[in-house]
Amino acid sequence: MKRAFAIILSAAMAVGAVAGFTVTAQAEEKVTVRILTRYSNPDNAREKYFMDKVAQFQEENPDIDLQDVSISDEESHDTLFKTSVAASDPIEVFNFLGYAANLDYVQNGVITDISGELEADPEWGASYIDALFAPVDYSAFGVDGIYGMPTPPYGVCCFYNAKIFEELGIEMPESWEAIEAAAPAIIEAGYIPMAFGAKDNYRAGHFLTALSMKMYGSDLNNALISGEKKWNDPEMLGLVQQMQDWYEAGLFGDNNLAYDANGELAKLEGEEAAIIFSGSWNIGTINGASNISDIVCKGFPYFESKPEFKDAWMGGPDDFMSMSSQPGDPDYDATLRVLKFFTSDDYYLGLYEALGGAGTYPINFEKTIEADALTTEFNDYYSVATDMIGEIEQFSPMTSLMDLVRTEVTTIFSGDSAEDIVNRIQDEVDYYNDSNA
Amino acid sequence: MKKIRIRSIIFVLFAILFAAIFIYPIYFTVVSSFKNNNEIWNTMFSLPSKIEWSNYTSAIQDVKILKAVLNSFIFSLGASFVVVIVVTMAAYVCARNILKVSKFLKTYYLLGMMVPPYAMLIPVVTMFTRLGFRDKYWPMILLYAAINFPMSFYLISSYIEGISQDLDEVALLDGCDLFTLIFRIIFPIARPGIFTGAIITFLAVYNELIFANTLLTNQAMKTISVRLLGLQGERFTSYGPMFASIVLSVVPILIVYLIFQDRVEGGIAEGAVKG
Amino acid sequence: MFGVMSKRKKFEALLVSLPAFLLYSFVFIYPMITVFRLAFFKWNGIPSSPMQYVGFRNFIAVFNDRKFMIALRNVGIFILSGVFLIMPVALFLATVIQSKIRVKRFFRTSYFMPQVISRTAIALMWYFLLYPEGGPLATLFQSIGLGHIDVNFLGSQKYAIYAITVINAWTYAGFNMLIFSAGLTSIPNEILEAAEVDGASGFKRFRYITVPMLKSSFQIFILNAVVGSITTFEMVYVTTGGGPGSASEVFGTLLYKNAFTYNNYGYSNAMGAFLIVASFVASILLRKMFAYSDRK
Repeated sequence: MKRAFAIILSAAMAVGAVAGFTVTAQAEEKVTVRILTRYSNPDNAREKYFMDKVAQFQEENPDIDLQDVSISDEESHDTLFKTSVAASDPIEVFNFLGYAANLDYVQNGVITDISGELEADPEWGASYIDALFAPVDYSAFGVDGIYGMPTPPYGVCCFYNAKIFEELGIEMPESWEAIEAAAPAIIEAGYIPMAFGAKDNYRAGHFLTALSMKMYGSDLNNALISGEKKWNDPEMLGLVQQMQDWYEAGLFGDNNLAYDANGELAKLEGEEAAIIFSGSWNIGTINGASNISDIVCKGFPYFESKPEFKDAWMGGPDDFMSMSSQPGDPDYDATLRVLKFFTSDDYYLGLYEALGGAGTYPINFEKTIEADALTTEFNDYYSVATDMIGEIEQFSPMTSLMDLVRTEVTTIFSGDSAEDIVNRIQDEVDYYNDSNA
Repeated sequence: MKKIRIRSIIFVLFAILFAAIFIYPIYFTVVSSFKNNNEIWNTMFSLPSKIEWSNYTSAIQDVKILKAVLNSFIFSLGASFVVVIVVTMAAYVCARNILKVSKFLKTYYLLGMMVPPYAMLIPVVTMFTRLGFRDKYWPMILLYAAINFPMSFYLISSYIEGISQDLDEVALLDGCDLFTLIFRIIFPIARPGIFTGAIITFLAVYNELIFANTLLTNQAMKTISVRLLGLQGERFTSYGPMFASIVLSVVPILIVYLIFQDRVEGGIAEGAVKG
Repeated sequence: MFGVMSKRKKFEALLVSLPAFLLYSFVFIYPMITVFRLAFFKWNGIPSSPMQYVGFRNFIAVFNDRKFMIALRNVGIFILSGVFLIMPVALFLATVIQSKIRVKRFFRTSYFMPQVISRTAIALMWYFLLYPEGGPLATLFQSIGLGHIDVNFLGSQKYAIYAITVINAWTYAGFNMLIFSAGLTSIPNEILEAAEVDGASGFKRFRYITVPMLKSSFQIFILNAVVGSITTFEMVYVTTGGGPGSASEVFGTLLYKNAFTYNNYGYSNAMGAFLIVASFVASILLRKMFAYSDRK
């Protein structure tokens, strides 16, 4: 009998090992709230600030177990969020990308409508710039409400190494025509006219949208999304062809597929590149470069032949802080508190001070801090923008379009023809439209 | 005779050439991990002029690679342990055809050897997230045990089949129960086979990437593969710490391999020859 | 003896088998069945959005995908690289470790070592080896007058897949060496010696004695190469992720991307089901073929 008992016991233990862990500890009364952002690198001032604020919140709110699950890598970040949604346990507070591309989440009630809470707490969100809410306004799709608080807006801009231009005796070119003219001399002197780290495929996506704004304004974007224009119509074909021609002329240097966005920054600091096309989010990092005194910020180059679109930008709201807990959920109040904390005026005021006025912010401050030179230069261009859109693909409800366009356009660096590229994109778009008709 | 001499010299030269091809990437990584950024490029074949220990400090403090190594060890040891216990019991029953369903069970278990586990990625991820199993040690260990179950089952059951049944009979006549029989009598005899199964599981789990990458999100839970993958996307001004991290993650597994070399190679060869 | 086993013993046997059965069934077989079931539904990964039964539409989407053809081609290249690159190398390495060469252990260890290193670490190592600006291979090429060749093969649409097969061969050659080495051990020395006495040259001995005697090793190798190539994923995922463009996509990367980048879970599960069936069918067909040729 003893033996039988021993067997049953050990078998039960083994079974228990399989099944037993489903019993979760319920001793703690704390409400768990997870927060997912792209801020996980303590070397970056903005991200460090976020991490400090997480620590502060944890200290001040002993009743909430705030878990920071942030990941800087975009793909891992998205995968984490999507899998949590797929398993009916969405991360409570997260960076939401907004726009039509993410309509599914809003339509299916994953993202909480916070308009009621904003009304109930007039102070929250009062200083925010209204225009930034556009991508989380889904009324055009028949869904009312506000689905997130904007994070700092961005703009795709360029950074120039003034020293190189001085050395070559060339004025810093701000139009594509001028860049084309200056390129041979820059290349001759052993520099890359404009570094392009295509190992990150979002670089090509940004470039294409920014270029389309300078050539056609937001008209092309609207026409593409409505289906009035196709990706392989002459307009888009021409833009991709233009990128390819520049690449072949050596404007972007070579080995573009071997380095990424950080490589661009390294080439700026290492005085290998005369210009890098980048974005306002890098101002803080570049401020820490060893040759910061040589760096100048300017807008994305325009076409002299298209003066009407000189100040059309790729930029605007970046992403949003949103939440997934619904009223009535046991963690609703705690989640709301976390969301409010990380989207409060105080949060941004603290960041503004921590960064010494550098960068852009989603709210208007009462007092302004004398910003660094790059931020001031950036704002000189940014503030006169006449039109501004996010990346074209964000406006389409076809979720895979962004990865598709970015990946396809990147292939100009491995020798694909512009025509093949735009045809492949249009094929996929057609296929999507057919299967969702 | 001369002809043979030349031929064998060519043979040895090729043997050495291949050894160089397999060793060089590792040599390059180790040497680079001691160099500063300027030296890594341009002086690939030479030793560092000054040993840059700061790469290792950074790998440990910033990358926190040792925590990842520890996690990899916990998952690997845990999965090996579960596999050893669970598989040995099941393998014994199947190997001795005790139950009517033994034959069926054997086929059922070996079926898994032909299935690429990542094909089940989505259901597993959904199941784990729904049950709150992500970022927890035990569920991950059981997942890894299940993935490595068929191969270990094959190795261990074929070993037990090769053991004479005489001892079993004596023990059973003595009134020994099955559990005691398996762990007191069979286990020590079958130890080489069981150990091989454990080592193969250990190696497979130590380097597993796909499931770890989708199921482990907490920095503190990440394994070596996931941590190293993350390094590609992170802003690194200097490559030294990256090389140092690779070295620190590879050394422990190389030591395990070198200590158990014959077992590892034997087990892998045997697993490959299945069928 | 077990024929006369008591009921209690059978009961004990049942208990002892239970943990394995439960673990394997719940964590391995149940998800596998789920894959097949979900492959017939369209789903965007949002639970509150209804799963829509679409029959075979997901499978049609998989087979109509332009990238499916690319993946098919790449799997073909993987298989060919197995036969024309890994096989000769592994066979040679096996003869080295079976020969009377000195410091045999050193050779065996160095050939096998890559097998135990994490694929991510291998990918990082090779990224640096193939770095176009001052990387080892670039420098080597420059010094032997091949400086004009762009060594960033992983970033080239044309060569990426071949570069991956080389890295793959580097990783798995040692593994396959063991298969052939096991085969070589089983060849009786007397046969080779007899042939030598008969005046057969080294090559002839290899061609007419060694190779035929290694038949079953070759069969195992081919089986592993084919099934391994169909299901290859990690190596591609960590080196190129399927790019540049879609140049190096394989079935695994398509499965992964469609789920976690495109929210197209139906497609992914259909791909998963396809993979399970394909590796099953391939291994059964090959075994049948081998059995048939053995009988002849």
